[in-house]
Amino acid sequence: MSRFFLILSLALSTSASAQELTAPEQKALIARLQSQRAEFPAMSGEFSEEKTTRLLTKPIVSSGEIAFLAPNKFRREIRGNSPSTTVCNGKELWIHYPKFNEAEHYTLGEKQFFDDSLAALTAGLNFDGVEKFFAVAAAKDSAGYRIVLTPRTASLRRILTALTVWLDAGGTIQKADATLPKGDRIVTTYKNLRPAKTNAAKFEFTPPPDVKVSTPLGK
Amino acid sequence: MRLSDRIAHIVVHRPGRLWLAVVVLVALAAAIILGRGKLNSDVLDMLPGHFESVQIYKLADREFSSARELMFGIVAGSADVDVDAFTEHFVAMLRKEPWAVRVMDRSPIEAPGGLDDLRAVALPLMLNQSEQDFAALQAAIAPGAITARLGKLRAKIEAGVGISEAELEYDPLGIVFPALKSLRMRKGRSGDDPMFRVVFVHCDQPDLNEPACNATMAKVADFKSRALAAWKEAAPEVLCTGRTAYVSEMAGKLKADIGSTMASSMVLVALTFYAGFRRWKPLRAIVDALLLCCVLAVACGAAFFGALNMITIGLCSILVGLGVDFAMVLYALYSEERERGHTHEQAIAAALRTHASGIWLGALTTAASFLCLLGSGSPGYRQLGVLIACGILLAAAAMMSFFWLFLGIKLPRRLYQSLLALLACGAAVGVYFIATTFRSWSASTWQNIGIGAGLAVATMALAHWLCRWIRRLPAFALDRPWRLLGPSSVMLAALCVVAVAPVGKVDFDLDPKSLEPRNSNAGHALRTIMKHLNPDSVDMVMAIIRAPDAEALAGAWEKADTSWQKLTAAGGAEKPLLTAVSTPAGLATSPARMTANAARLAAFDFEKSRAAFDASLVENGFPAAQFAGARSLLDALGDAAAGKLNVLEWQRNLPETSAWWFLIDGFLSRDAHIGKALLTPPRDIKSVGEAAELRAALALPGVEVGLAGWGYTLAELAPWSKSKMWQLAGLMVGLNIVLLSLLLRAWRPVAVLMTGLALSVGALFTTLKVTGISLNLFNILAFPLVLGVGVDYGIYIAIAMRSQDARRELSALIKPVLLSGMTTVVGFGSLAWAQNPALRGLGLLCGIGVGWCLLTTFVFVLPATAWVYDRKDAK
Repeated sequence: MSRFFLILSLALSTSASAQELTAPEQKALIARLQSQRAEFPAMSGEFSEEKTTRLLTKPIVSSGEIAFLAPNKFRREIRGNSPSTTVCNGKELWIHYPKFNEAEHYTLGEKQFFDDSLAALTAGLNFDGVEKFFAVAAAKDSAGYRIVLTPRTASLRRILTALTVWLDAGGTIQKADATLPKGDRIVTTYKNLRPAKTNAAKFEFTPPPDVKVSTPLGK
Repeated sequence: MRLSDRIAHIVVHRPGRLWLAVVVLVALAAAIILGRGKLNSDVLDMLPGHFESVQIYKLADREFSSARELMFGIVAGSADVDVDAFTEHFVAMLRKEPWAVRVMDRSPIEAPGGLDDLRAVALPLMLNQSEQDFAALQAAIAPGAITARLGKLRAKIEAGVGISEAELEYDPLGIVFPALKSLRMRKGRSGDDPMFRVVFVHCDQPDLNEPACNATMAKVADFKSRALAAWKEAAPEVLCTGRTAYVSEMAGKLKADIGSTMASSMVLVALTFYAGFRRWKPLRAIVDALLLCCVLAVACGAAFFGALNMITIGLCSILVGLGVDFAMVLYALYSEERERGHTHEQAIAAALRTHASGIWLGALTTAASFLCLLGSGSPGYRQLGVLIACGILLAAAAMMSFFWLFLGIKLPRRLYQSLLALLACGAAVGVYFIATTFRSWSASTWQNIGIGAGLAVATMALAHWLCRWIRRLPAFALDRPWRLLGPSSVMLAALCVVAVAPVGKVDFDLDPKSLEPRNSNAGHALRTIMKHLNPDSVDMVMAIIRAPDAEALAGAWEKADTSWQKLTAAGGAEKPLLTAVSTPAGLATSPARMTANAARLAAFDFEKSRAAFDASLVENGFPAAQFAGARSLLDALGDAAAGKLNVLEWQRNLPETSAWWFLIDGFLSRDAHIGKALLTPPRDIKSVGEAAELRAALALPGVEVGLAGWGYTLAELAPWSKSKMWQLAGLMVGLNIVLLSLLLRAWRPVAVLMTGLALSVGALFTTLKVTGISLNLFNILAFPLVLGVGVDYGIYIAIAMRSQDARRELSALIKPVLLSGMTTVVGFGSLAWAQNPALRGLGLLCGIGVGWCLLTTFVFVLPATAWVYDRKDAK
């Protein structure tokens, strides 16, 4: 019983400290974030991620570096025992597994479902067109803002139940918590996220010559 | 006593006998209709049954459960509609419906239970793989390979995105997806258009007949309204199609057509008659006699055939138009005799004496023309031919007997008043119905009412005007035949020149839409869904292979798949004849190969593989419960290796509710060794040459391949229907010549009548060219009918011309001939408002053709026979 009260009091204290924004405040916040991204389209930093999935008994924890270039380019490098590099230039997406000398190649613009999913997920991070995909609920707390994004369409709900993003007072992403269907969850914490120089070459990928390339969605 | 006098005597002095005959006939007809009469709305029964492509369609309906499938198209009209959320709501409700056996709205693997059923589906396919692929499977289930694969997948999912998670969830052993590769999943691929989704449902329907289809569609309509009512947000449009939807809709429209065409023809014929004779009593007698003829003819059809095909429902309209002719000819002479002071009996006898032979000959030529349809090869047209032939002979008999009986009815005052009161009540109910419903009438209903009323007024006005003008025609034709014959010959010859000249073209419509009823909801739904699923909208061709056993079927499909894939661009064809090939080669399993592969596994140590799998799960942190399916797959392979081959039977291991059945049943028959492939040509097949080229390319040595497809079938049937038209028209011409020669016993009037017919047909062709009315499989058979029906008016003229007092005979006859021609035209013409395409096309063409025959009779046959018989001096 005491455990129950502890959890309840924690929950209440959290909700008491966060102040829900009114609709105009929310709009203003989103507009500010969008103009920030427009001013600084390129961002880079580090991240650590905890992934909980029904397919694993324990969560996976990984870390690495991340870089965005609005509106739809990103690069994600995971370090550790199972390193990987994921690169998207807005037209193609590559995942390279150096440990296995393998790469997966996905062409965007051919599968509507795949493209929409990717656009929605990047919108959740750079806020470009976020209201098209999500119902937005923002709150202000002592550390900054918490924005809860709930998918508007059933097709998006099939891949993402909710996405909660925490930002500091300056609008920089601190943490993202993605709740997935079937009970899966990914919590990503960002560090040292800062504006970077626009370097389009960073978002291009050419697989090394000896790498075995597969195209899971077809050519 | 002559027969005509005897009949007149019975009508006047022994009416009780005739009434008894009427009662007995009606009772007998009612018993037959109620006991045996059914409606058959299958469009396939309109096509010639001896054609392979038609047989293939019927076989597919019988053998493949897809005949019981319905397709729902969910179309969002705007971006406000969350089509996926609505589809989820719709499918969730649909799954609870007792009539929905199984439902599929996405790939079977994503359907509820789809992953669990995957093992049952994949196992036979795994064992059916080629030796090389099966060796890969054996390598994959080796303990070392299992350990390595699970370790690799664990490492890959740490990368966060990509296909690894799906592989781990659906195929951790790496043996399922390779086995499924041979399948072509065409259904449920609507995910690429965010505004459209398709849902397949297999209905619990006992048979494919019309009542079962109606019952299913009633449940569907009820479900649809409930599903839409329960959805509180912006709703999409929900379309529904499938064989069941088509059959139900066509049957419903058929029944509506029966009433509407019969009522419209009856009204138009009555108005035409009234405009000509201005009398109600004979009109009522004619209507009574016509109703009796219709009942008797339908009873004959029910007795001969049982189920009456869609086109036979046009019988009543045609019969009304044709049958009234006899009554009008008889009544015209009867009234003239009465005006001369003869008694009722004497007038009847005179009318029968004068016109009986002409009526019988007219009835015989018309019956013969309709019997020509026996040679059409189409079950529907055969029925129509027999029914109208029976009906017209019955009409001739009824008009010469019962018509006089009905004409003599004198109702007691009280009964007359009671009937009037009943009619007034009916009218009041009608007014109330109209007053309470007219606000909800659709635009097309108002359009039909407007057209109907306009046509009725026009018909009356035309009949009234022509009846006044036509009286002067016999005298003019007899006195100065060339004055009429010259200009009319020039005009008709010019029309014939246009008909054969290379100016304009008579279109032959091979669009499958020409087989559909007007404003078909099922047709609209099918085209909308296909536009989304198959943006090129190319009509697919269905290929069917039958085999004596499963082994032969597997071999045939393997051969077919290998050969047909080479006809595509991907298969290396320089000039591809196909853009996509979906065959059941992957599903048609070979018992011998499965047994041989199972035997190869006999030496395999499954215990070690299972142990390696269990250990890898623990080592990589995979929960055992999530991977129970993969482990049971190893168990099932072990069972197969031990000779327990029942694990390979889909029917035993796959529940009826599984969405995988949509895939399996779409390609393989459950009851017979028959498989179906779907082939997509680069463009619609529109000519018999293209159909023949495809047939030749798809031919396989030693394998009998049956092909069908609406475009393909129509392309194949086009030359057949054209040749049938010429054959039957030739037969009708020959028959006309023989009958006319026997009746007229002189070659010159016969030549005049046949020339008149030829000119009419030429004018008909020109009308088709000018108006753009297309020929199709249904209306092309109208030509022999026009020849058979259109000659009748000339026969009356020729017989009258031979009489001693030709001027008097013609004067008495000309108005009834005009009115009977007009009633035939409006009888056929009323079919043009039918929703059924076969009736519509037939009615329109026959109406125009008979109209030309009527005009030709007056402006060409009349003066030409006057000239031939040289009756200028006639009194």
